[in-house]
Amino acid sequence: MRFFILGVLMLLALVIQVALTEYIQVWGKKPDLVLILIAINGFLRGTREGAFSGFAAGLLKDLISGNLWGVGVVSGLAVGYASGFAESRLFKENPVIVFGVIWLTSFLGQLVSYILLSMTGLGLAPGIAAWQIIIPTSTYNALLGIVFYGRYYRSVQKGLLSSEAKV
Amino acid sequence: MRSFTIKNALLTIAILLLVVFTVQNAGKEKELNAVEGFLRDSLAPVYQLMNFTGQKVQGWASYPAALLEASRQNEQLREKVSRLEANARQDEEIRQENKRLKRLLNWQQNEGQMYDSVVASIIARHPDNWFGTVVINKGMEYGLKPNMTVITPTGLVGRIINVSSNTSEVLLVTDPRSGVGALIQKTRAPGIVEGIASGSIYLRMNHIPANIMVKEGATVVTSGQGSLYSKGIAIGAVVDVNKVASGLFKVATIKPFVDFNRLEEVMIIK
Repeated sequence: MRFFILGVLMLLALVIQVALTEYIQVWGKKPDLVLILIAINGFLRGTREGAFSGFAAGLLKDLISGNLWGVGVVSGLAVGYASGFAESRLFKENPVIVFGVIWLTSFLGQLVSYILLSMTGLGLAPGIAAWQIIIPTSTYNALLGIVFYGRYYRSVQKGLLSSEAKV
Repeated sequence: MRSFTIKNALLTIAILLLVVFTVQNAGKEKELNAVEGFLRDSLAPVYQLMNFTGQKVQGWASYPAALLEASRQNEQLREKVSRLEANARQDEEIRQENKRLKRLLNWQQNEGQMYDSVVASIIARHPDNWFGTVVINKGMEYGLKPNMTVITPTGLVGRIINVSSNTSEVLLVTDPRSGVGALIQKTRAPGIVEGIASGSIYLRMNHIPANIMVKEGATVVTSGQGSLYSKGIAIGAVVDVNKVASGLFKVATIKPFVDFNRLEEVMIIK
């Protein structure tokens, strides 16, 4: 059941990101809602589920966006695994830590995307990529992530996304 | 018998007199006598008090009912206001769309007469900040093909990179993968306009010969030469110009005429 809900949430996040961009973008920068979901889920569930959900979400993103196949998958996998790595090591109820985890994993995901895209001929200077895309997107993701984190955390603890939830 | 007759006669006369008196005074305003006036004046405050008390009692008695009625009316008015506000928002949206479409139609009938164009709406954007692409709601069914030029009345938007039956993907000029053959309109200085980053509000014009003067504010248009884009479409205005390290070329920063963050309808030149 929770995997089904997680899948629906990822699809919903992707649809919002694609179709309602003008309502969520700030100074021309849009948040990566799917990546936020991967980071939060990985942080609360650990490396195994984090990596798996990151892989699945990245695949969905590549499929819908018409991206180069693999960029979304690899960056999603990296974000899910990295946030899962923090699961058993960091305190989950501190918003500063949550902000830091989402920011760092977003940064990592964007960096992986940049390296892969540069290898396929994106032609974007590292400075421009860092200051105009990677850092603003990571910051926006982290700010938006802490807004949704509390609700998601409660749902994972004893709601529809908890391990014990039945149909 | 006799006394009875006199009595009857007197009574009859009295009644007749009374009738005559009443008929005569009917319609005339009667003046109060002293006793009547005194009584009326004395009772006036009592009347007033009774009247006031009656009104108050009626008010108190009907207060809960009035309160309920006011509450019901309030609810109805709130609903009405919400409905009217929603209608106003919808009307505003239609008005804005109408304005934009009128502008497109006006352009098609005037400046765009030489082009065979199709109007389309943007339905999706690329989910990442890396790429500047949008999806429009028209495709092969409208005769659209890859590499067709996409514009708005204010300037160049980009070109179609792939099509499906009902949609097309447009590569915006702000995408770092985009390159447009361009000219400075007045001096005819050539160059290549490239995207910097998808969310950036500026473009970069590279390979401008160093010996040609380029002024700030100069308009940049598509060159059409060896390019996928039609000739003479406005791209933007020069914001600043610098020489590259080699000294052979200049590079200019261009502010596009199109606001890519608020793009809703476009035209595709067939």
